[in-house]
Amino acid sequence: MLSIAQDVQGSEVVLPWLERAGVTFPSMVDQHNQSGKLFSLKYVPVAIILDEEGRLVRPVANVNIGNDEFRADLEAWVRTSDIPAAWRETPVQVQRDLTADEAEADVRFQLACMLLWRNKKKEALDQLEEAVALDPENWLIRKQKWAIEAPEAFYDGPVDDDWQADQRECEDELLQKSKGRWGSG
Amino acid sequence: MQPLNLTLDGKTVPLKPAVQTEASNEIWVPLHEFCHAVGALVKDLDGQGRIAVCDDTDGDNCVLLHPEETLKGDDGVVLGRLAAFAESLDLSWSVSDGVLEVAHDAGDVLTGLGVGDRPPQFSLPDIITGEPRSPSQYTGRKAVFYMWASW
Repeated sequence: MLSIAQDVQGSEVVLPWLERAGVTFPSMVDQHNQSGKLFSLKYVPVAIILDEEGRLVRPVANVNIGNDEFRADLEAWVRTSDIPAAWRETPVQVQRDLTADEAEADVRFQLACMLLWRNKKKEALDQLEEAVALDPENWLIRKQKWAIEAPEAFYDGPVDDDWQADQRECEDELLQKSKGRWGSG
Repeated sequence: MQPLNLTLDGKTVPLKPAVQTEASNEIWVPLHEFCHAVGALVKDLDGQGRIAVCDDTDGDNCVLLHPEETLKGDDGVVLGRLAAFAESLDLSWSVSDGVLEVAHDAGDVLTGLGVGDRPPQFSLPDIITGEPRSPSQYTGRKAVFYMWASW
């Protein structure tokens, strides 16, 4: 078992979670969304499950590690190497090149990463805002913008789902209003 | 309306079901998700419901959908009539046993990673040591890479 944290803010925000969970397995951090782009993903959590030959035994897809059925399948596969039927039936994530808007959103995301590293939070958020307008369904970008904007809704106690729902509604409304700017290019 | 599961280039894709109307046999797909999966763009032209579907590899190749070629479901999902734009995206399709099979014409490069495929390699720093780690280091062992986030 290994973990990959999709966090533009890096180990500073990731380590406290790993320490609280008592994680003993190797953990990586992906500040530049390398893995998201590689597998055409716009969300987490996701699992990449490989056999001894490095071949996928389940399509790269969303996973709920707390789901009893999934855990039973995982434990059975580790013991027997028999690929569970549910894994064979998991829909394949289509992989494709980034669209022009997605590519620009990614460039702005990378710039935001650099700006955060240089402690230029406001400038980073400006870039992330532009990135979200270009690729609003990319939750790997959108929710990271929220976490930087309002850390108290993410890092002070349980994640505030009500705050996220309100934020999404407000942001969707703003994005709709700015369609003339972003939607017709 | 009869729900249809969807395959793209022979592989099942995780979209809300498409539907086939019983009266006219027309196929309707969840427009935004479908276009995203096939590498196309949905453009809202005026915020008033005028929608175009564009091939993202050719920004000039757009099809304007007439009002009767879109529907809004009870869940707010916009459905588009597949026949109105599939040809311009070089897509062919057929329906068999409740499955809508959509295929790109030869020459397109969409793929999906399924069981038995080798994923592309990547290398990311270990959060403690900073040393690079990649899937190839775990050949010979079963490995689960769990992607998550603090947010």
